[in-house]
Amino acid sequence: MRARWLIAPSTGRVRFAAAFAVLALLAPPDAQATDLSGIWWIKDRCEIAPVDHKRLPLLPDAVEAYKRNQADIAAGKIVPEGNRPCIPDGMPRLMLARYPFQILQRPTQITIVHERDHMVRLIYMNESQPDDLEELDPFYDGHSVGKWDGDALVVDTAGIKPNTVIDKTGIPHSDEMRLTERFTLRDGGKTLRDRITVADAKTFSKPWSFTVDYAKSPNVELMDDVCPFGPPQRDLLGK
Amino acid sequence: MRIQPARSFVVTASIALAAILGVWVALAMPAFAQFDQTKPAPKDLPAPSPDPQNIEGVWFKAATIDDPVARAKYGDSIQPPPLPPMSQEALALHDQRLAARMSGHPLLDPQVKCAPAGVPQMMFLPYPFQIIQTPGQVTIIHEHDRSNRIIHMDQAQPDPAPPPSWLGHSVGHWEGDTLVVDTIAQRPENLMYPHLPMTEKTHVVERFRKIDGGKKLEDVYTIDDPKYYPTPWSGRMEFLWWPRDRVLEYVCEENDHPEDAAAAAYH
Repeated sequence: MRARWLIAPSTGRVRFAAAFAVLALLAPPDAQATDLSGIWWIKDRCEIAPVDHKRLPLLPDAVEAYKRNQADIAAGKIVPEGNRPCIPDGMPRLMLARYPFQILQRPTQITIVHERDHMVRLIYMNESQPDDLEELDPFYDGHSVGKWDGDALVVDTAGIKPNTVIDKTGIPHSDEMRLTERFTLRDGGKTLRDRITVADAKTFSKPWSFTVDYAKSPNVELMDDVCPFGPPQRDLLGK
Repeated sequence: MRIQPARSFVVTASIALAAILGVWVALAMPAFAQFDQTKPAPKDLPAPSPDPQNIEGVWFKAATIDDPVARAKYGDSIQPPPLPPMSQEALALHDQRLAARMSGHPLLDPQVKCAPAGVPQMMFLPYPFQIIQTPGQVTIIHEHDRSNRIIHMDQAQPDPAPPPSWLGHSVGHWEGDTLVVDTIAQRPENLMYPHLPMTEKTHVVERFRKIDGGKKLEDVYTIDDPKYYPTPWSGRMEFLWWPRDRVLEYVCEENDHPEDAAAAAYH
C-alpha cells in the first residue's frame, strides 16, 4: 500500500523526477569541465606562414591563388572580397585578430564574444554537424559544435563562407574548409591555447595545423569596434 | 497548335495571379509569421526557467498594442506614435527626420552605415536575441548587426563616464524578480524610435522582468536627458520566449540576411 501511495498521486511527476535524476547522473556536472571563461587576448602571432607557401600543403591552383593574394597585398590592394573594409574576417582569421575576446561558458553552449568587428561565435555543446554539410547556410564564422575531450574543448566548424582568407598573408580556402579546434589551458590557466586544424580537400593536399596562444586579461573590458567608425578608444580608459 | 484567345487569357491571368500571390506570400509571410503567437511550440523545446532571476534563452520581439511600431504598421488606422514631452529643438529634429522619411528621401541613420542601433532602440528591432548569464555579467547577443550588449553586474558606473560608444556602458543589478540595467555614454548620433534625438548624456534605465509564467519578458525603459526632454519618460515592450530559434549570423555590410525581407516589410 505504501509503495503504491508513493507512485499513485502523480505518476507524471514521479516519472519526471526519475528522468531528471537519471539525466543529472548521466550529464557530467559543469564544474568538472575546464573553465575557459574570461577575457583573452592574442599573445604574439597574427599570421601563420609568412610568405613561404612551400610550408603549406597547397594544391597547385591554391599556390597560384596564394601568390595572387600576396601580390595584391604587396600592391596595396585588398585581398579577396572577404577583406573589403567592414566585411568580417571569417574563421579562422577571427581567432588571429589583435583584439580581446570573452568566453562565456555554459553547459549547453560556449559563446565567444569578440571585440573585433563585434563578431560572436556560438558553439553548441553535445550536438553534431548535419550529415549533409550542404544544409548549413554559409556564415563567415561557420557553424560550430563542441565537446569536451578530457581537459580540452574540441570545436568542429563547418559551413564557412569561401570569400575570406585564412590569415593576413592571404592563405586561400574553399567552401569545403572544415576546422577542428582544440582549446586547452596552460601556465596554470594564464594561457589559452587554440590548436586549429584546417581540412580543405579543394585547397590543401592534407590537413595541417597551427597554434595560437592567448593571455588571460582580466582587467580588460570589451569595447565597441564598429567598422567603419574606427577602432575602440581604449587608451582613453587607461587600458 | 493554336490556343483559343479566351483560354489564353485565363491561362495568362492564372499565371499572373499565381505569381502575384507567390511574391506576396514570400514578402509578407515572414513579417506576419514573426507575430504569430498562437503557433504551438514543439514539445521537446525547453521551458522557461522557474527561477525569476534566470532570464537565459532566446527571446523575440512581440507586437503589442503599446508598441508604436507595430501599431503604426498594423493598426486599423495609421496613427502617429505618441511623442514624449520634448524641447522645441528636439521636436524640430524629429519633424525634420519624419518629413524626410515621408518624402521618400530619409536621412541616413547611423544604422544605415551598419552601426549598432543603441539602447533602447535595438530592443525594438524584430530580430531574436539570446540572454546569457554568467558570474558578474549578463550578456545579450542580438542577431541584428551582431550587437553584443555586455551588462556588468559587479560594478557601478565609472566616474568619469567612459568615452561614448554605440552601445554605451551598462551596469545592472537585481531588484527581486527585476533586472535593472543602467546605460550611459552612448554616441550622440544614436536615435530612439521614432526619430527621437539623444545625446551622450542620455541616461537609460531598463527594467526587465519575466511575466506570464516566463513566456514573456517585459522591458520598461525610462529615458532621462534634460537637454531634449524636460521630464524623464518611459515606454514598455515585450519579448516572447522563443526557444525554437537560434541567433544567426547577420552581416549588415552585405545586407544579404534572409530576414531583411521581414525587416523591410516591417518598417
